[in-house]
Amino acid sequence: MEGESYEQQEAEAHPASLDAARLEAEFDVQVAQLLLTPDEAEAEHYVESYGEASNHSQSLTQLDNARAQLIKELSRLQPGESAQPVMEQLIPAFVWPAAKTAITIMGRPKLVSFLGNLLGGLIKPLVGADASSLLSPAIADAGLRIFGLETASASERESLQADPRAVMAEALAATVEETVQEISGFPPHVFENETLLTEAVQEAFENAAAAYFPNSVIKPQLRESHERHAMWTRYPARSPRKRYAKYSEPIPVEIQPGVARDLRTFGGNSLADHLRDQHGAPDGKPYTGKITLYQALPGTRGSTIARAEGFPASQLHPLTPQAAGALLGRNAMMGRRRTPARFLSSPQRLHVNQRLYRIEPPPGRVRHVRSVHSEVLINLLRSEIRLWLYLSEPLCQAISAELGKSASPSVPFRRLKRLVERTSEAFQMALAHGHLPPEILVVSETPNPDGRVHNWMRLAGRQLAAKLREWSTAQIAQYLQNHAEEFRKLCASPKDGVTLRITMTRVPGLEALRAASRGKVTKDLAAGRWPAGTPEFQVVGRAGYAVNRMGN
Amino acid sequence: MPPVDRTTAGLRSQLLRQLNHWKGAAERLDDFEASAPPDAWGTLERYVGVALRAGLKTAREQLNREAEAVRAAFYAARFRPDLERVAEQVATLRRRYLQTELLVDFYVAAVRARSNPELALQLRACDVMADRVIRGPLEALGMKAPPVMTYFTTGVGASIMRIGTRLWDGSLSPIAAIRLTYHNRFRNTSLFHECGHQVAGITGWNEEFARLLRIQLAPAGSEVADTAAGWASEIAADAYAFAWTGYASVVALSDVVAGQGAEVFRFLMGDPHPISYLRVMLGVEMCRRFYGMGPWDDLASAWQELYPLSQAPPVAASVIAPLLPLLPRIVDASLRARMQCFRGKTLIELADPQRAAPAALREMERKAGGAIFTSTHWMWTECVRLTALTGLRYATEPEKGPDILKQQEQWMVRLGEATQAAA
Repeated sequence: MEGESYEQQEAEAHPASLDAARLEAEFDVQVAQLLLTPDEAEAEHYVESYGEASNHSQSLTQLDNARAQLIKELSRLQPGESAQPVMEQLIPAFVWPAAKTAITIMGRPKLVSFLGNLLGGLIKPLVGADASSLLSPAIADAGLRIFGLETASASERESLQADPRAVMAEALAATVEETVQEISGFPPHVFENETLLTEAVQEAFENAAAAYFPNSVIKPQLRESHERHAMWTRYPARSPRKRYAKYSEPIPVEIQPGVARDLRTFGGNSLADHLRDQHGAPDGKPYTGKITLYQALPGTRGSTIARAEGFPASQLHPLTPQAAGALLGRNAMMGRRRTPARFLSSPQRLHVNQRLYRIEPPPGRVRHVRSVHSEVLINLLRSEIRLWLYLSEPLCQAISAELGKSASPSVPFRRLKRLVERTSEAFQMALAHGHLPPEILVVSETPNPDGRVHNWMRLAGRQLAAKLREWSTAQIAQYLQNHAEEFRKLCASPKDGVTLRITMTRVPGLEALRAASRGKVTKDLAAGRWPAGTPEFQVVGRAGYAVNRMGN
Repeated sequence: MPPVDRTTAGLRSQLLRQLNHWKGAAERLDDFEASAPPDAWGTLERYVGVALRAGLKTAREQLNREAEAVRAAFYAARFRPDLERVAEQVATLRRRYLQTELLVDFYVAAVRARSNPELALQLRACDVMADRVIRGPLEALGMKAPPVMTYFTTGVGASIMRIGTRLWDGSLSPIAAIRLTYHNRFRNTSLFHECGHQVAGITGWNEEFARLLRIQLAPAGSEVADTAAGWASEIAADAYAFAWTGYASVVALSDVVAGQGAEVFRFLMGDPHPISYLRVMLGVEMCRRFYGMGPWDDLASAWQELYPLSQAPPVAASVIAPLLPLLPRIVDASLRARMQCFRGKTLIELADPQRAAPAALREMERKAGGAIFTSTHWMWTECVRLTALTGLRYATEPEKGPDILKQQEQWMVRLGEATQAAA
């Protein structure tokens, strides 16, 4: 079943950092439980167990320390010297806690020994001064910039150019670390067969090396990009506390309007929305610019990368295979890694080694605009659905201009129809992937802080998504037809953007869904049928951002 | 050499005191820079502030190096003739300090003017508009746009210190600094005139335009051609302002230069500014050539009535008379001629005056509905044309003048706020 296989794949991708939204939700639940529990001992347990979050920062510190040690040890190795002892000493920090499956099957000591031996053998030809000279042509041609050392002092540059061993050690350490991280994604049966495991580790090593070494030293068939000396480099450059990697070369890109419309970014928005709202790109014209690529490392959120690089996190987009294929041309291999849906809702929730891209804004002054945004609240307790559509300022001015041009709202309606359709699609995707994004909230009798999709939601979710689209689009069309002037007045307000709220009450089918949440599934629901009938509707427009799921 | 005596000791003591004074002053110039509060610096776009502070730091460091050299010379001096040479160096150091102080004072005063929050927001809006009209054409020509800062001062006319201008201390200006006047800050088409100077400076437009004028106007006699060519830089800047804001720039100019007859017809040899009368008539001709008939015809009639040529001083009249019929040719040379400095393009291909035509501005207003002066989207994307629209309305609806200017002020402040949040 699709949902089951997805559950397995979800385990492959480990969050790069603690999920802030989840922490908040957990905190609320824990505080509520603490306040309500009559038993003092139980209350103590809640207080003690809440501190478990600190384990994450401890393991990050251990990882940073191990990384520093690995780089140091690798730079000391002499040609022909075995790296296995170093690997065995330091791999545990990279393996734990990600590779739970591997450890369960093989046992930790055996896994560490196996990896130490294998990786030690793989990197043996790459240690020592002679091997480091492999990097000299790249350093000479492209400079230390590609190794992330743009601001290296003159003395540092001289020293590294004379002895690139430190540069090689960093590239090797990055390769080893990423290889070990990939292990957590191997299917269980691989750990039961030495040949399969060896091959899988070798492939992971080759892929990681293709990222962290310049293309000029990588076999052509293994390269993931085409720029001669381009490579990924971890940052901050001179610190062991690596939090992200960056591709050394910005990639020129021309984005066609249709491509931008179809590509999704965080939160389900389209790239076209972003280009319109943040880059001032006119509708219907190709956008020419440059793309910079990033990769999340353990301990990172989008804001970590953004802060270090000096731009807002909202400028980061997920480099899905679809995005890579559409934008990167012959460099599309750099986006081959699949991103589970739960890491596509926000740049603040990334998985380890997730790749992102940023479209560099046009030079000169910039203005940050709140982007389009939609949220859905399905309240089974009140038999009510609310949909909020926040229309960004550029979007609502475009709609207003179109409404002023013609009595027929069909052209502006098309813009809003896309938003509604995307919301409905997001709901369907959530049902398929087993996880509700933050923008979709289902209120039932049982709190659901994890945003999980329960079986009873799947029963009629697809039909509900389709009904949501059908009802909402009809109401939007009617609103634009009957309230065009009111909408234009809202657009003329000094507040940025307009929020449309569609409230549906007495929604046919929600009672049945509520019963299903209590374990009582009706025949119609079980058969995948949605009851006939239409809700009562109310569409309200407000100037500015007025999405408030807690308010009326 | 005679041994050190009392007068030499006295000279040494005096020199050391003076050296300490000027060296200390040089070291404290960064305090002077800090006299502009952080909030004021914060109103500059980050890359502008960085460029400016880097330039000031370079100037201070150069001065400090020179002071160190004088100090080293002082301590190396053993005999009176050495001390006398050091005395000259100390005098030079004093002069150099005053030059650097002037430089720092100039920029810091401009930044300090942004301490007032309202003025700071208005200036941010001016910064945005200046950047827009400089960056667009330069980037279309494959050239880099300079960092730009605007500031308000008292006085009648605007001016610009272009990037790369040799400054008082010998260094080069790290940014373009555009001086605008308080009285005109809500009818600031002069901003675009000054931006024209900057674009001309980077592209080499003035020189090529002057050569073109000499060629185009040669049939009228070399004196006429030379006179007009001498005004090339100002005509170019006026054309630039027209290309971006249309009639608004012409009527604003006419209001600034209007005065007594003597002022309107003043002709100064070597002054790069055309005779004001001709300047306004040239602007009217630009409007006629691009927009046909319009309120500029009334402006021309009013000027002809207020300032009849028969009352012009003979020298001015002798310059004006042969040039008046040549105004169409001057308009074509400034706006429609293909220029090598523009990579074979015309000015109107880089900045189309039709976008500032009254009909186009009214259409923009209609399209935006009531949002044209309230929507940050319109302010951001069309700030230059909004200024043109304000100028057009101010000229054609004078009874609503105060309200129109108030509206301009309000949207400039909002634009400043919107970009302040992004910086």
